[in-house]
Amino acid sequence: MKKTKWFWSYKIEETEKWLENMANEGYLPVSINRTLRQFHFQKAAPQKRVYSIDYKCSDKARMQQAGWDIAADSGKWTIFSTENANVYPARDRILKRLNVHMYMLLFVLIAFIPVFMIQSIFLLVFSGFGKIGTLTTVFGLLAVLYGAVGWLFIKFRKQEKKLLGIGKQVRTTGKHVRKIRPAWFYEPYQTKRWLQQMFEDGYELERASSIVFYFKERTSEAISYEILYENKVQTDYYSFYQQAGWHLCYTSSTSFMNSSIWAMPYEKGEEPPQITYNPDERKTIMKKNLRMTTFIFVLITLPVLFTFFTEVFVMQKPFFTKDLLGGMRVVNVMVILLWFLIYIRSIRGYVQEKRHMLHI
Amino acid sequence: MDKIVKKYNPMTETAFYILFSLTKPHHGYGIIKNIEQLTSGRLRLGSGTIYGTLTKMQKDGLIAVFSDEERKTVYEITGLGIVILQQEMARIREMHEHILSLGEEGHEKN
Repeated sequence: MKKTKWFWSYKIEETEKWLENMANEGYLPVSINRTLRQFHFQKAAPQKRVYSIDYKCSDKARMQQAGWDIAADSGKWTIFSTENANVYPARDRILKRLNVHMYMLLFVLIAFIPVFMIQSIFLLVFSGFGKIGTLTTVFGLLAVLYGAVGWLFIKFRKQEKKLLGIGKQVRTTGKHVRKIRPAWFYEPYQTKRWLQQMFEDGYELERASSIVFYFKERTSEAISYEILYENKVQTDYYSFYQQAGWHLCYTSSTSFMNSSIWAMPYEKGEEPPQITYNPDERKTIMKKNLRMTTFIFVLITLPVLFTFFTEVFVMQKPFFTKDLLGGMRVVNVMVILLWFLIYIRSIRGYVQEKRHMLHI
Repeated sequence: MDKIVKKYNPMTETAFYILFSLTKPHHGYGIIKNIEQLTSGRLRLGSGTIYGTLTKMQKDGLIAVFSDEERKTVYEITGLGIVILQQEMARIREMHEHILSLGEEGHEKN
C-alpha cells in the first residue's frame, strides 16, 4: 500500500507517531518515495513498534547495537524501528535541516517582496492610478505575501520549539506586575541587577518578552538570574540547562543571535548558583554579548551616519528643511542618539561587571 | 585526529572528569552530580562550563549524543574519546607512580 504524507520531514514526531499507528493496524513501512512524498507499506500482522526517523545518521551501527532495525533507507533518510528502545537518535541534524529550509524560504519570500512592489508600481503607472480594482489586487497580493511569511515562520517555529524541547511557558494565575524595559538584552548586567532588585522588593520574574517583563509574587527564598547570548543555539541547549535546574524565563524566537533569561531559586545560606564559576568563562559570556551589541550598533548607525554626513557636509544641504527628507534627517539623528545611548550603557555594564568580578 | 589528540594532551581537570563520567552514558545533570560525587564536592562546575566542554567534545568527535525514552539528551563516549581518555589516564598514572615513589613524607629521605 502507498500513502502520501506531505511535509512529513518537517514534522518528524508526528510522522513517527503516524508510522506507529500504521504498524498497529498491520502496515509496516518498507520504503519512501521522496519525490512523491509517499510511504510504501507492507501488510503484516498488527504489531506494536516504535519508529525513529533520522537524517544523515552518522552511526547506524550504534543504533543497531541499541536494538534498532533499519526499516527503510532512502537518500539521507533512515527509518529505524524496534519493539522497544532506550536509545534514540539525537535530533540535531533534523533541526539543522529544518532551520536551513526555513530561513532559505523566508529569505526568498522577503527578497521577493521589494521586487513585487516595484512591479506593482509599474503596473499602476501603466494601467492608470484611478483603477481601484488594480490597486486592491496589488495590495491584496502584498498582504497575502506578508501573511504567508508570518504564517510559515509560526509553523516552522512550532516544529523547531518541539525539537529544541522548549515547552510552553508556565503562566500562573493571580496577580502579575508588568514592567516595560526595552533594549534590555544590550545591557545584561544592568538587567540582572534590576531583576535582583525587583526580587528584593518581592517580585519574582515569571516570563518576559523582548520588551515586557511579567513578575509574580515572590515564592523562593533567593534567586539567581543569568542572561545568555548564543550566536547559534544547539539542539541540546535548552534541555541541558533546564535539566540542570535553570528555569527558562525568556528566549528570543530565532535559534541564531539568541538571547535568553534563566533563573534558578536557591535556599538562603547556599552559595548562589551561577552558569559558570570560572572567571575566564564569565568574561567570554560578557564579551559575546558586547560583541553582538557592537555588531548591531554598527549595522544600524553606520548607514544612517553615512547618509547624514553626505547630505549635510558633502552636499551642503541645510539641516532643517520642511519636506520629507528634512523630517527623515531629524528622525535619523534621533535614532543615532538613541543607539549611542544604548551602546554607552552596554559598555558601562561590561566595565561594571568586570569590576564586580575583581571584588569577589 | 593527531590534532585532536594533541589538543587534549594534557586535559584540563574539568575535561578529564567529564570524559571520565561519560564512560557510562549520562544526562547533562547526571554529569554534574557524578563529578561532585567523584571529587567529594571539591569540584563544583557551573552548567555553562559543562555545556561548553560537551559542545566542544562533540564537535571533536570525543563524545556522541543520543536521546532517551523521554527525549532527554544522553551523552556517551566514542571510540576516539576512549583513546584520548586512556592517553590521559596513562599520563596521570605516570605522575601518580612518581608521587608514590617519594613515599608519604612528600620529599626524598636522606
